[in-house]
Amino acid sequence: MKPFRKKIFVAAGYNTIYYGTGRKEFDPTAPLRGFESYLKETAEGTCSQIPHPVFDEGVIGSFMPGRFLKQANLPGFLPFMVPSLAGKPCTGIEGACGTGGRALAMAVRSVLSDLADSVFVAAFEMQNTMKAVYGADVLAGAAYYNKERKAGHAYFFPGIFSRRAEAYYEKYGYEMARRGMAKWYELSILNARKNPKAQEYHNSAQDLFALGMTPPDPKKFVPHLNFYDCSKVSDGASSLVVVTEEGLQQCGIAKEKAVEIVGIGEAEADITMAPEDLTALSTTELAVQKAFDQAHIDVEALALAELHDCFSITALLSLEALGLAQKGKAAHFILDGNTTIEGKIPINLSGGLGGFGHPTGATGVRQMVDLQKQLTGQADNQAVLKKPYGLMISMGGNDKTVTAFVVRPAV
Amino acid sequence: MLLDDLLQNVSIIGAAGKMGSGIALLLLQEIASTEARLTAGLGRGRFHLQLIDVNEQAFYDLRHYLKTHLMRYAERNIIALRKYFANEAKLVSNQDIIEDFVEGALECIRFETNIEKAADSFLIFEAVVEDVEVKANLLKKIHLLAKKAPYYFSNTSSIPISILEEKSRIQHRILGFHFYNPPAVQRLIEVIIPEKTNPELKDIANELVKRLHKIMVYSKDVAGFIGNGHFIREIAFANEKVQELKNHHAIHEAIFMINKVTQDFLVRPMGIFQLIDYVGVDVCQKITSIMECFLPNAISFQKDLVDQAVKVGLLGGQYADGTQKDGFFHYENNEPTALYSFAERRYISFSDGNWIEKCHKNLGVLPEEWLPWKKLSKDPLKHEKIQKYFQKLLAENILGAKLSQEFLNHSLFIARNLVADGVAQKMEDVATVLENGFYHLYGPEDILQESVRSLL
Repeated sequence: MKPFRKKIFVAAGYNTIYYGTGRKEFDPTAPLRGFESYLKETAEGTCSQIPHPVFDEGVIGSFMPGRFLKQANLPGFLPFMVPSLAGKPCTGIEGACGTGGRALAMAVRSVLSDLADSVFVAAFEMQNTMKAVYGADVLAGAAYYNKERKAGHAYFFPGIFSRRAEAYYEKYGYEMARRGMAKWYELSILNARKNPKAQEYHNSAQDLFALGMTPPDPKKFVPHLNFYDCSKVSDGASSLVVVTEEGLQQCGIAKEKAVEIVGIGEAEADITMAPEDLTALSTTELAVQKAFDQAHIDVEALALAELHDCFSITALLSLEALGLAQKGKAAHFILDGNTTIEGKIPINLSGGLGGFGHPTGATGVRQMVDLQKQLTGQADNQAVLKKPYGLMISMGGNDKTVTAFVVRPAV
Repeated sequence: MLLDDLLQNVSIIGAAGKMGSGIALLLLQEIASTEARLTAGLGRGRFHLQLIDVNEQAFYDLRHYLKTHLMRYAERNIIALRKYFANEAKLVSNQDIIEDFVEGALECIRFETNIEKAADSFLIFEAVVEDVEVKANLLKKIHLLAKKAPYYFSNTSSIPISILEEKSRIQHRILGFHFYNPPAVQRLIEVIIPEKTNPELKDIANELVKRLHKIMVYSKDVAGFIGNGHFIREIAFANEKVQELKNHHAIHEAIFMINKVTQDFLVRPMGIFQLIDYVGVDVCQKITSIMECFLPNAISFQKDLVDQAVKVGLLGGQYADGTQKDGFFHYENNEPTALYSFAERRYISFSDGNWIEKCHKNLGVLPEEWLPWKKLSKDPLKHEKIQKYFQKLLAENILGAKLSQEFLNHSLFIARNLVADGVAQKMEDVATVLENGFYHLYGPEDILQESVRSLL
């Protein structure tokens, strides 16, 4: 894949608090903060970093607002968020938990097509509007509902990834996988404690690894994952701008605060088909490879990454899809400390989906915000970067809608 | 017959009352789950639960209560329900299954005011007012109407089952199945099985306890059983202590101090006079009378305070929405805010003058190791912390410590006598009742063995 025909930058990233159980202020009996307030906050958070916040286009992503909020026609909210978008092209995007990645890809297309020099991109989800037992039905829409829901688990997606975990244990052994998953949980929470807006920021549990080692209990939950293996129900919104060189200048954004997108990998798998190999994320592998090809780098060039770890088993599979660990060896890679802030390649310093939170449609944009902050030295849990590139993987459904990006500092 | 078969037709008499409604919820949950499991969600309508009560007005609230809680039950048990409904193609989402389950469960119910409707039941639960004649007459009537040779479960908390058996002429087919209040929350069930009870009934009771996820303690068929056997004797002791304190303090101050000792100093969820209000002052009076009537050796309990309270209309108990009615205390948002003075014939607010402060001063300062019951009950190290606290408290030379010691000694005395008389099989059973029925954080022997015994 050729490099982009012009330079594309990301800047002015902003995340709201990712809200849900675990936050001290969480109160399921109190009225929920309105989604409009999240949208306003994130838009103002992005615009306040931009001297001239006037954009050519807007893109907004969300997965199931029609069910969680009974709200559709989201493009109409973009001028509400950023008044200068009134009268301009605005687009809504959906790709399940991979929505954020696809919203970014949509913006990339717009600037590449010369239709826009600046695109405001936001994504959000509000999932605390219903109990998890009903939310599970809604999220099952990320799979092939007609064929899969009936036979699926009450907690549908944990059930899907529980089957992947089962296959992984059978192939590579339970003990080591479980230890790797427990360590992943521990690191996710430790990272989240450094990020004030993370859902697990207030988590003060003592022995996180021991919690992660809790044996799965099929009577209470899915057969092969425990509660700590799973990202939680979250509300939150994130936003940023995707701009050309001209866009940077028009908005008055300093290049030092921007990152450049140098590789994109988009891949889709047939949602009506079961995965061929439960122990591999083959669509993710494909998307990552495309992004590496376009950026002309390999995994060794990465300074850090933001992976889609909706479940701890997904983290293990992603590390293997990325080529950081051989098949069946991701647990060793984690347990050896490679993914910590001082490790070979710091991963999910935000806390990831398990630690920062996972308002499904918002996550892909949140990952890009965190890469932008890390690579420009503005992150709360800032790493000392030894290499130039950052990578993110945004995944929708059971490895169906995947977008990977490779970015580097703009200067 | 198997429990699954017996559950196909069940009646609850007194179903709209405080205890009856909770029992109705528990049985309805079990009946609906059994039906769903056996029929795989298909061909419903085989199971019937008659909810019988004279108070027809209460049925609307009862239905609402059952519906709300069934929904929560279905949400909690969605993993099992999805398995039961696996072959029902129309029910796909959790929501489909939960709604169908709740609807199906509500369709099992018939609200009735006439006990004749219990005639076809295999199991009959009785939860009417705690009165020997009322219960016995009712059971007798149903027994004459019954077509299916049912088993009877009485929720009496004090009346010997053998007395009900004799008066109702139900032979060997009745047992005591005493839920604690509120039945849907409290995990304890005291089971009382008269000597000649049909062994099948004993097995059914055991299985039902398991299915309801309750903790069972057997009590001998002696008036008051274990729970009230302890509680009513402790009320008498509290009464005695108030009389002693009354020599030096106003009566409302004496009641306040004993209540505080039995709550804060003994680290219990509520003090004894608040607990009397919660149970119902008149209910406590009735139970005491029943025990005086049926216990061997014509025991009489000191209960002047309870009698006085009932006389002036301080009855306690709860309103239909669960809020606490006034009794010894006046309540605002279920919290006591004033105490009745029998001398002045009015409630005296806690903020009226400095009498509360005076009471606190009289009792003395709680040691710094003290933690409120609510906090301690969730503490994984509660047992160690309680031991430390009591060790410190009981070494103090203050009135609160002296009274605490007397209450602990007396509780142990009651418990040992319950075991000596065979009411409880062992001390552990008394502890199980106190810890699960009354939410004590320790059994009657725990503290004394560790710390107090050395001081005795």
